[in-house]
Amino acid sequence: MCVEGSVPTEAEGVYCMIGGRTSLDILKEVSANAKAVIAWGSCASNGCVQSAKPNPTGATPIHKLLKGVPLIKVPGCPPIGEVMAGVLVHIITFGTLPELDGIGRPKAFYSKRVHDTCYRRPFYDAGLFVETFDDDNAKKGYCLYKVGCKGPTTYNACAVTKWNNGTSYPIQSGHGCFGCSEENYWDAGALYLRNQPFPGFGIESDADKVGVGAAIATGVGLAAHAVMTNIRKSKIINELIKEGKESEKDL
Amino acid sequence: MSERIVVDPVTRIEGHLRVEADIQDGKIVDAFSSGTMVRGIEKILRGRDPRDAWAFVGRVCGVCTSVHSLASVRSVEDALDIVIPPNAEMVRNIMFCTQYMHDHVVHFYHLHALDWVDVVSALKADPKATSEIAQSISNWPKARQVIFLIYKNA
Ligand code: SF4
Repeated sequence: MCVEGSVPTEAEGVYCMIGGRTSLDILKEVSANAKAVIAWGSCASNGCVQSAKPNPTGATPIHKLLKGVPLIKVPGCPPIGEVMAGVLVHIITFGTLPELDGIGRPKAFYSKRVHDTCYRRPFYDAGLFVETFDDDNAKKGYCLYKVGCKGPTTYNACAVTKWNNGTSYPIQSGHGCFGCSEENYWDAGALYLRNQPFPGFGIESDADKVGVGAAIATGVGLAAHAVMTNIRKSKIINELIKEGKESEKDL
Repeated sequence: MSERIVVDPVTRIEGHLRVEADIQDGKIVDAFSSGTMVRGIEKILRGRDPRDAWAFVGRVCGVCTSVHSLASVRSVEDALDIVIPPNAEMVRNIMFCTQYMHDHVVHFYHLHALDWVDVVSALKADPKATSEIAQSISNWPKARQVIFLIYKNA
């Protein structure tokens, strides 16, 4: 059984009525004989936006409502299409559930952080950061950590599969990851503020320190690569700006 | 005396909807509609960073997300007296139009096409009759019998 959405439990469930029945009632009935349950998306997996403080409707994720049935969480707001298809194809092809991590997500897609596979990672390691969205560093494509990127605490496959047939993903479009597949992400600090120190991620709470350390440790090669990339990029960007200015005159 | 018809749930939409219509002599004389789900996003937004509002508000709908976000960004700007440059307005209009196209495709194929297309028996369809219907409404070059035949046998 595939479930989309969280279930409002306040006021006996009246906040979501379908055909005169509460969604909780329908969930209980439909799941009675399910072999396994897939919680599609962040709403079903962790409650998502409606469960953000003060959670007015008592929105509850599926694993807290259904006990005694295997449950796969496929979080993301929205989850990646290829990942959703991958989970279904695995179940249909092998007749078994995919291997899950400690909180029930398929390991194949959720075992790495966005930060681990991010193409801006060399900038992070070299301590090169965007400070504001309109600064020069933003144009150069530096790391978005200081403008709120939650990639270091987000487990998902965005940087690998990307979106829209592999076209891009938020960081590639110049906006930090906001961690939409993580539990409680709406209440984990404002979107454009730097990542909060996170239990177990203490070492990364200060990117400047890590950046400097890593730059020394991994040596000149990485830095040189970053510099070369930037020279190439800034040339392209300068040309684009020139073109833009010219076309602006025509308007 | 009028008779009341209740349609609940109204399917093929994003979210939950109930419609009640009063019918008299075969005609609708009065009608009522109600959204049967509420999440209280307005309450959730209270006290948060105004720069974050768009992200919460966009989640109002999974089909037409960005228009809600754009509307929210405009409301925040209106409240704070922010005037954006013409280039930014153009970028937003492009986003809006792109989403307009995306939304229509999603709505047609994922939501209401299922009322018109019997996916399960699509492979039993007659390529000749299909191409005739298609050609009667559009001159799209691929609406030909041989193309439908190829898909059928693929
Ligand atoms: S902080 Fe964000 S932008 Fe920077 S490397 Fe990590 S995931 Fe990429």
